[in-house]
Amino acid sequence: MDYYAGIDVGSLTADAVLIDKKGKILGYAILPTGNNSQKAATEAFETALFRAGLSKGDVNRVVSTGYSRARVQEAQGSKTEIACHARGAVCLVPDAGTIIDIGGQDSKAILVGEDGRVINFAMNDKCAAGTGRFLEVMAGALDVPLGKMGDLAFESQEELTISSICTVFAESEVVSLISQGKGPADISMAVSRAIARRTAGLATRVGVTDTVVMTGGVAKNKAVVRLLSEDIGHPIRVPDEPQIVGALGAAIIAKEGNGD
Amino acid sequence: MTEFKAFSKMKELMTNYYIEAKTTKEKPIAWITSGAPVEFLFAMDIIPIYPENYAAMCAANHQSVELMEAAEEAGFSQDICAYARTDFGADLTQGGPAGGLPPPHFLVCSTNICKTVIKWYEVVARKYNVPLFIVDTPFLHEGLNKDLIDYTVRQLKDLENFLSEFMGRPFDRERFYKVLALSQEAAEQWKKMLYLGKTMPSPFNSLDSFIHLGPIVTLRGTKECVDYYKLLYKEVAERAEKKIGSIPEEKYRVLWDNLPVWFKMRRLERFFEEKKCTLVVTTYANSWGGLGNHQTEAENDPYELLAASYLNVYINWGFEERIKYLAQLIEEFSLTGFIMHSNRSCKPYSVGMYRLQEELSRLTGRPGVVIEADQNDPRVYSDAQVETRLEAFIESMGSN
Amino acid sequence: MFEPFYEVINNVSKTVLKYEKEQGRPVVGVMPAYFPMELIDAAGGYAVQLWGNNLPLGKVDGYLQTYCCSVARSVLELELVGGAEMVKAYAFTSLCDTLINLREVYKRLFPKPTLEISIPMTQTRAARRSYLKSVIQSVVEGLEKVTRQKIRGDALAEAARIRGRSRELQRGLYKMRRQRPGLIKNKDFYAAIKTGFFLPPIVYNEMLETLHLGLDGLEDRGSKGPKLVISGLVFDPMEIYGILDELGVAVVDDDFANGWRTVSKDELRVGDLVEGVTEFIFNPAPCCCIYNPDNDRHPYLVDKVKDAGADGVLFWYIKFCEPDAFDRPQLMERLREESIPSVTIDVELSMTSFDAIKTRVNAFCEILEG
Repeated sequence: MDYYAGIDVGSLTADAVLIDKKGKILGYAILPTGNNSQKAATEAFETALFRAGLSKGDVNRVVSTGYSRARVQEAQGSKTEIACHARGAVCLVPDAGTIIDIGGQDSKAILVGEDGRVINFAMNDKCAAGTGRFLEVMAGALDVPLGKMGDLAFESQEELTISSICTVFAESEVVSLISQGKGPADISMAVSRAIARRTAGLATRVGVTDTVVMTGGVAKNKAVVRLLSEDIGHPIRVPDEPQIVGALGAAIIAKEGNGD
Repeated sequence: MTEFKAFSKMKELMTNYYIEAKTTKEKPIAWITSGAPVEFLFAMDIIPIYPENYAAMCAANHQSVELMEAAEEAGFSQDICAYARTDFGADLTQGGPAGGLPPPHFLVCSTNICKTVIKWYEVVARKYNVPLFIVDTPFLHEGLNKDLIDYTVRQLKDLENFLSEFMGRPFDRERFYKVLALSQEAAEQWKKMLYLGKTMPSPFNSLDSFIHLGPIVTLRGTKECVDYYKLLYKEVAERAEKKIGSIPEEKYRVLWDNLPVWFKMRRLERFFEEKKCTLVVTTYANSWGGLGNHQTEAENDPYELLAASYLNVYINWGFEERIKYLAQLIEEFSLTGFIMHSNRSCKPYSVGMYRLQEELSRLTGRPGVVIEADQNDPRVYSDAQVETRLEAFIESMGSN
Repeated sequence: MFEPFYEVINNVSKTVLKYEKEQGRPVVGVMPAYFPMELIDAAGGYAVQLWGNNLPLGKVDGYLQTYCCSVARSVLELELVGGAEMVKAYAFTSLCDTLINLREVYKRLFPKPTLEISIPMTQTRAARRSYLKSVIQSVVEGLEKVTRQKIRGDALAEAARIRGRSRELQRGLYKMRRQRPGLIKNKDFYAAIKTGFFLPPIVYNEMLETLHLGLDGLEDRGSKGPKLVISGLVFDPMEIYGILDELGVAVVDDDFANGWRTVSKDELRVGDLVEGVTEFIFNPAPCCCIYNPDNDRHPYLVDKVKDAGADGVLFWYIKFCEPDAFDRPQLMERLREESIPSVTIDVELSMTSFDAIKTRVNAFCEILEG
C-alpha cells in the first residue's frame, strides 16, 4: 500500500493524481473548482482514487498545492505550485530546464536544476494579460469554445494585433475587431500571439534552456505553444496531460516525504 | 500632417544630427534631459543626446513595444515611465531607428520636467559608469522667488566648473554668449510660429507642432536650428495670410495638454480632421517657446534670467499658475474646448489633472475632457475608449 | 506584551482624538517621508504620520488616477471621506512627483494649510545649504502660523531629545531581532514601529521602554525558517507579516523608508539646524527617493544582508512607486553577483487578497531552504 497523492487546487480546476512508489501514475482527475475549493479538492481526490481502484486508506501521504493548498483537508503537507510544477515536469521530462506554466490566474516561468530543484522563477505582473483567465475571457468575447481556440487560430489568414496588457482593454480591442468584421480565426490567432509574447518575456527573464516544458491548461492550445516556441527560439515539449503536472509534482513530493 | 516644404529640411537636420552623434570621434557625448540648459554643452563643443527625443521617435515609428518588452524582460517594471523603458530597451538591443544611442561620457539632467529623471539617469550612470550632473530646479508651488533663482544660478556656475574640468580647458564664455543668443532666437521663432495658431482657421495643427519639435529640443543653441524655424515660420505665415487651414473645415478649435500619444499620431489626426476639429495649441510644444526669456548681451550677467527661464516651465508650475495660463490660451486662441491627456508615464503632468479639468471648465465655460493614455506605450491604450470619450467631448462643443 | 501597540494601530482615529484633546495641540498630518517632526513638536503641534491606510478606495478615483500609488490614493481618500477631520495642516516633503502634485491637489481641494520641505537634490553643496536654509525658514513660519506658537530654541532641543530617544529605542528593537531572530513575531515588531506614527513621542517612548523590559526577560525561541531582509518604501499591509510568521520567516532587518531608513537617523542637531536637517534627510541610510551618490544603495544593501546573516532579500514593491521600481533591477543584479537570492512582491495598501503573495514568498522560501 505504498501510494501517494497530490492535489492541485487552482482558480479554475482542482486536479488530483495518484502514484505508486515507483512514481507511476495510477489515476487522476480534473474537475472545475467552482465556488467551493475544499469540496472540489475532495471530489477530485475521490474521483482519482476511484479511477485507480484505491481507497483513502491505501494512500500513505497527500500533498496539496495551488492557490487553495492550505484549505485541502486530506493533505498532510503542502508545497507551492512553483515547486510542484518543477518536480512534475522533471518527472515527465527528465532533462527539463525551463518550465512554463500558464495557469488560470497567473503564468510563471521556472528555471530548474538537474535534480528538479527550483533555481529561479518569475510570475506575471498583476493585470498582465497572458493567463488562462485571459484566454477564457477572449473565447467568451468571440463566442468560441475554449478548447477550440487553438485549432481555430491555425485557420487565420490575416495578421491582427492585440496590444493591450490589461485584460479589460484587450477585450475591448477584440470587440472592436469583431465589429470591424474581422474573422474569429484571425482574432483567435492574435489572442494567442498576445499570450505568447507576454509569456516569452517571463521565460527570458528566468533563462531559456535547451529543453523547455510547458504545463497548465493553456498548453493544450497548440497555437499558443507554437508561437511561444517561435518567440523563445526553442522547441517546447508538452506532456500528454499538461493540466495534472502540478498535482503530479505534489504526489512525488509526498512520496519523498516532503511538503511542510 | 499638414504638408510643409520645411519638413524635408527638418528630416535632413535630424538625420545629420544623429549621424554626427553616432560617428564622431573627437566630440564627447552627453545625454541630457529635454528641459536642461544645453547651451553650456554647445559652448564647450559637446554633443547633446536626448533620450526622450529618441524614445518618442521609436514610438512614432511603432518600435516602442518591442523595446519596452526588452526592458521589461531585464526586470524593469511596467509602472515606470515608458520613455525610460523604451530607451533602456533600445540600449539593451541597440534598437530603434538609429540603432541605439551613442554611449555617453557624462549625463546632465534637470528636474524641471520631473524628479523621476534623476532615477532614470542614475540607472544610466551606473550602467556606463559615467558622472551625472543634476541641475535641480524645485517645483514652483508658490511661484518664482530669489532663493530659487540663487539656488539654480549657483548650480549653473558649478556646471561650468564641471564642464571645464571634464574638457580640461576653461569654460568658453565668449562662445557661450553666442550660443545663448542663438538659443533665444530659436525659441522666439518657434513661439512666433506657434502663435500663428491664433489665425482662424489655424494654418497648422498641434500634431504638426509635435512633429516639428525635433530641432528646438535637440539643436537649440545652433544656427541650423534658428534657420530652420525661420523657414518654417515663413511658410506657416504664408498659409495664415492666405487663410489656409490645416484641415478642410475647422469647426472646433481645441487645446491639447500633456505630451502627444506618439504611436497614435496619424490615427488621431484623421480622427480630428473628420470631426472638423483642429488641435490649435499645446502646453507641451509651447514649453520650448518659453525658454527664450533670457538676456544675451555679454555685458549683462545672463545667469539669473537663464535660471529663471529653466525654472519657469509649465510642468514645474503650481496649479494656480497652470489654470491661469490655460485659461489665457483658451481666450487668446479663441478655443472652443480643451483635451487633457492623462498620461500614465508622466506624473508631474497628470497627477491632479481631473481637478484642473473641472476648475478650468468652470472658469472658462468651455468643455474639457480627460483621456486615459500614454505617451509611448500602445499596450495601455484603447482606441475605442479614447475615441468614444473624444466624440462625446466634440458633441458637447457642438451643443454650446 | 504587544497588545497596547495593537490597541493603537487598530484604533487610530480614536487614539489621535484622545491625545489631541489631552494635549490641546493641533494635529499636523505628516506625509512621506523624512519631514523633521521635531519642528512640529517644538511649535506645539501634534505630528501624526500618514503612510497610507487600507480604506476601500472610492472617492479618490475622482481625483487621482489608478496609476498613482496606493499610499497617495489612500491618504487622499481618508480626507475625502471625512476621516481626517482632526488634521489641521499637512506637512509634505518633495519626495517624489506624485507627492509634489498631491500637495497642489490638497491646496485646491481643502482649506487646510500645507507646508513642504523641498529637498534639494543637488551636488552643489553651497547651493544646497543656502536653499535649504530658506526652505526651513518658510516651513518654520508656516508651522508657527498653524500652531500660533513660536519655535523656541529650548523647545526644539527638547523635541530633538525626545524624538532621538524614540528612534534609539526603535533601534534597540532592530538590534534585538537581528541578534535574536524569531524572538519577536514579524507582525508584532511592525505593530510596535507603526504605533509611533500616531502617538505623541513621549507617550510612545514610555511604551517602548516597557516593551524593552519585557523582551529582555524572554527566552530565545529561535527560528527555523529563512532569515530575510525586506526592502521597500512603506512596510504595510500588515497582513503580509501574518503570512511571514506562518511560514516561519524571520525578518532580521529592513530597508523601508518608514522603517530603518528613518529609525537609523540620529538625534536632530539643532545647534546648526540647516546642517542638522541636511544630515537628517541624506543620512545615514540611503533611500531611492534621495539622490546621494556618496551613500550608494548597492554596497549598503549587500552589507546589510551580510551583517544580518540573512538568507535573501524580499523586495516589497508598492505598485506604481517609480523611485523604487527604477532602482530594483540593478540592485537585484548586484545581489545576484553576491549570490544573495531575492524576490519581489507587488503590493497595494488596499489589497484584500494575499494568495499570490503567499505563493511567491512560499516558493522563495522553498528555494532558500533547498
